[in-house]
Amino acid sequence: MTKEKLFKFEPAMEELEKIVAQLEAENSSLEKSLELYEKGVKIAEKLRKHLDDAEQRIEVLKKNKNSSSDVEDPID
Amino acid sequence: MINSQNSLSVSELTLKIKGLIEPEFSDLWVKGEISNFKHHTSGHMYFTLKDKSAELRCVMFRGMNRNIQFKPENGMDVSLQGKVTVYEMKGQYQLIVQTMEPAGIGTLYLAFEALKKQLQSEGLFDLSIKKPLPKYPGKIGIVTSQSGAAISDMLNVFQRRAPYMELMLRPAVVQGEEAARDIVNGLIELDRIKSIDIIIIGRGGGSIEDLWPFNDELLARAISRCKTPIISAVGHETDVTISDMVSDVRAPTPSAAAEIAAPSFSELNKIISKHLDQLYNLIDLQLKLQWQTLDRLSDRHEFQRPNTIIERHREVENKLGHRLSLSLKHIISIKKTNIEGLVKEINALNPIHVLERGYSIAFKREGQIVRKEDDLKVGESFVLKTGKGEMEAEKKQSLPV
Repeated sequence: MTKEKLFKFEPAMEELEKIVAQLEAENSSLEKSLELYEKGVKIAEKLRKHLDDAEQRIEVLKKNKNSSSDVEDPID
Repeated sequence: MINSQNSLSVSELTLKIKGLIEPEFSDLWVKGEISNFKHHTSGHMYFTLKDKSAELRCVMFRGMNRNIQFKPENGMDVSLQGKVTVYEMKGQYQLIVQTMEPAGIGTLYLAFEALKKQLQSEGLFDLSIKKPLPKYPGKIGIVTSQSGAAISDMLNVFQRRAPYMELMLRPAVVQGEEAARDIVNGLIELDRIKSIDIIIIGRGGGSIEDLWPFNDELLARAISRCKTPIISAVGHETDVTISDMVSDVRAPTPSAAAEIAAPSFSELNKIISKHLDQLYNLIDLQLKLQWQTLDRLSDRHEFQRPNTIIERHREVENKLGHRLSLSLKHIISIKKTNIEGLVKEINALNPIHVLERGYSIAFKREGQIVRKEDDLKVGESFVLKTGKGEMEAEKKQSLPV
């Protein structure tokens, strides 16, 4: 697994939403706001990149009577 | 001989037949196999019920067939309850069906109804306990047959709509005796994997017997115990199973389940763009507000346009420069006049000029000017300086003041 794959979409999306909400609250200093803005833009870029780069990854769980969750090679 | 006066009209005969048949068969059960099944766009169902040696025309009107819990198909054995009527226009009799039950699985069907009632009373179908689906799932688990139509339908949808989505398939037997247990195990396994945000269980269309594992009580209870939100997608739109009722979301088909689970690439891009716009607008607004504050403080709107500031500075500079050089000239000319005046004053104060007007200065031998009478002793000599020339003199005596 590369670092890129460790990127989690949902938490990043939630953080972006949080940043927008924080900026909307209008009580940050200009410096803080600019910091939030830059952070938000970076996250949005990462999200876009994740959507653009990702190819469908399919893992297939081995059937196992002991209910273990070993992963076979992807079927694709 | 044909007695035309004794002949019945077709209508009269048909009416007599109708009168004989309809009271006799006003409420009955009949069983057989469905064929020529047609679900008309009007909502009514037309089909033939047959066995080895006979056929019966049947119609089930829209209002009645809404309540059927399964999808009638050709070849299906059913029990029908209804009444026989005569359709005069065509000279045909037919069964107007009021109830249809699957004959082949009658006991299963009763078990289904009983289980449904039981689970309902336990609150397992309550909307209040349904878990919401995460908006942006990172990974979707799927329990279905690895070779079935369901998985290939779902993969099609995922590849088209959401190629970014990570999937994990837990292959399972989806029909037959082993199926329910296998699906339950798969569900439990996937539910344990933390990274999985949604689990889809399901299979493609099939006969009511094929879909039966999804009416299993163990599966229903396993679904209700899952921590991960479950989407159930069994068969076609018309197939409703216990699994559908107890799951958090029921999808009419496996393809629909994939669509419900995964937000599309373009939707997500739109959301991201919207957030970016919001960020930009908010920071832009704040910057504008800051400028306004600055403007208010400095009362100079030129601050918004740095070019103007520079131009203004240059202008001022030029003006100042001009004024400065003017001033200098002026000052110099004033100074010049002053200096001339001063020179005159200085000249006027020059003692030589005073002497020229007839005065003299007395210097002691040591060079000091004699200012008072007693600066000199009687008999002391001194130098007297006039406007033109000097001479030596001597104090003879003091004179009274």
